[in-house]
Amino acid sequence: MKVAEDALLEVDNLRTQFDTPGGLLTAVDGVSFSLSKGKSLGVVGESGSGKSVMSRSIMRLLPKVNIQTEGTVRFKSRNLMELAPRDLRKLWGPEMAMIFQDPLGSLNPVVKVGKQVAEGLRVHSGFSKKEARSEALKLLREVGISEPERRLDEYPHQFSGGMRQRIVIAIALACQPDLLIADEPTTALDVTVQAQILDLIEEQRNQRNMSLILVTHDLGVVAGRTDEIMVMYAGRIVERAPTKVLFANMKMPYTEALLESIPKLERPSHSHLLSIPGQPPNMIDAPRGCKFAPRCKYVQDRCVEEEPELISAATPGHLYRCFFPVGSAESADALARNMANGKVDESGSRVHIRT
Amino acid sequence: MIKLKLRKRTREVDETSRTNNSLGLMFWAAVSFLAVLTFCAIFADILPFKNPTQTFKGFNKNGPSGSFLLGNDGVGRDILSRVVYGAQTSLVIAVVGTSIALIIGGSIGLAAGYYRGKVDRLLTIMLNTTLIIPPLILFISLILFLDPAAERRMFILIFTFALLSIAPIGRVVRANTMAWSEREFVLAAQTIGARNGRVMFREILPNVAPSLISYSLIVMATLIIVEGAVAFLGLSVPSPTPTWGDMINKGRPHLDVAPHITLMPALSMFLTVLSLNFIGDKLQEKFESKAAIL
Repeated sequence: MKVAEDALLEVDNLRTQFDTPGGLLTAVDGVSFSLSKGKSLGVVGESGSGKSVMSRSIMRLLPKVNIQTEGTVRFKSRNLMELAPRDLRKLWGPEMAMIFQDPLGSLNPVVKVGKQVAEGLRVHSGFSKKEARSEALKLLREVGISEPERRLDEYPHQFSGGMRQRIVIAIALACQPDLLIADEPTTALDVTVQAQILDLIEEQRNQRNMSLILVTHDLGVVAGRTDEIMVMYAGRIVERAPTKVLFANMKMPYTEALLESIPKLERPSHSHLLSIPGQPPNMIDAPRGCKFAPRCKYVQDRCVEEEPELISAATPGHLYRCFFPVGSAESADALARNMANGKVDESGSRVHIRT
Repeated sequence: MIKLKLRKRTREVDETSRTNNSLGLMFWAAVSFLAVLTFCAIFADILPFKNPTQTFKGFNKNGPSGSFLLGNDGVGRDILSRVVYGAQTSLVIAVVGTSIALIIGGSIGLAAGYYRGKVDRLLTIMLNTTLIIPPLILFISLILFLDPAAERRMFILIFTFALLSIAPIGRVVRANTMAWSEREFVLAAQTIGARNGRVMFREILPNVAPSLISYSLIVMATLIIVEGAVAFLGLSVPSPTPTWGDMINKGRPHLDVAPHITLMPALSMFLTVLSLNFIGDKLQEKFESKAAIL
């Protein structure tokens, strides 16, 4: 894989395994990618696809007990995997920051909001209480909180969900990080607020020339917002492409299935919501071939036998992992064969799934 | 036609009245009792109390009267001023003992609950070790070996009380810390680069504090009772310094003719302990309902 010259973050063959009573669970399996300065990357996948674990592995936030992480994560050409906790702490905040899913959970219920926003500044920049407070005021104003002077002295429970997430964003941005990892920042929020929060993140990213990894299970969230999209399934990258290319010319059946499961206005009302049948594989004892094969409507014998490699498509920067890519003659052929032998019904979805 | 008259009611709902209502009258009665007692104990020398060690001839075993509001004891001393001066002893022992236990036990509990693993195991063993000490035997031996002359009784009492209260407080803090450490804001604080000490004291401690405060009030009440029991055995601060336990003990022979000698210090001890327990319980309730909202 070609690495960009000005890569801020390079992840190489990242593998995270959990030691569970049932055996070794591989949550992230050989993920490699790079992210340039000022660029944004959307990571999409359903629950359990390893996207959250991946983002935490990159930040090195996972607890050490019963968890093994291999591979390298280079951030500004320093390998994060080799850094001592003390050096990591210096990095967290001014270099890389993270936004979590639940805004109420990530705020301390008994500490005033202003103090929480100021905390990073006090830790890293050595600001005095007064300086940190005025800086916190500025930050709150930047993230769109009205009457910041008054709200600085309020507690998290006095804010609405969207406002809380704005505060969490202010905390993350306080020390001017170069990389922001947002782990499902809008999942806990009202749909009407989601767009506002995403716009805010996008706006701040542009202003600060910050790199962003936006983790989400909703393809709609990253569409049109991030420069590139990476689709994950069962701890692997199954497709990666610039956003426009991905939507125009997706190769991976899983990506197609994800997109089809988003309800669309042009469909008649009361029609069935499409879903992907079955469940993601058990990662302790994963299937031998393609991890998506048991749920794929194009599946052929070859898919079950051997696992496809991540290969490049015709368009530059487009990678996918499939023998029968969507839109190709082989896949149409495969689908027709599956329909003929009853693996797929007339509407085009898999039947008789064994998991 | 029926005329409906709407009366606009204006009720001022300011912060204080709201807390007043939710905590109840009894809570504030308990707080005022303790406040008055503490005030009298602190300023006993300035306030117009009689000398607690002075014996008034001819007033032995007298009941409450105009000049001696709570009556006189077996040798004619003023019970009111002895109760007030006795409060000094009880309160100092309870407050200082609990504070020391709070600092040591609190730190141990925080560290054990936050770091978990080996640190937790070691600290828990330490806490449990203090629990196997039989309190009375520890007292008697300490007093026999260290202080037969009864000069440093107060320090021995405080030391032993603190030692015995460390484990219960430490356990409460540990359990609470464990629960709060799992919360995402702790992880969030770590991701902006806060050091462990900062996370423990700035993020977790404020959340643990409410239950810690109410629990330590109950520990305080227990210490007052234990001090009374120890004084009853004659192991507390020696005469003529008044202590409630000692007063109760000294009143025993006169129970049939002058029960007030025993009753007055017993009553003040009863009210103090009741107030402390009541405040502790109410605060706990209040904090719990608040935590449920969050």
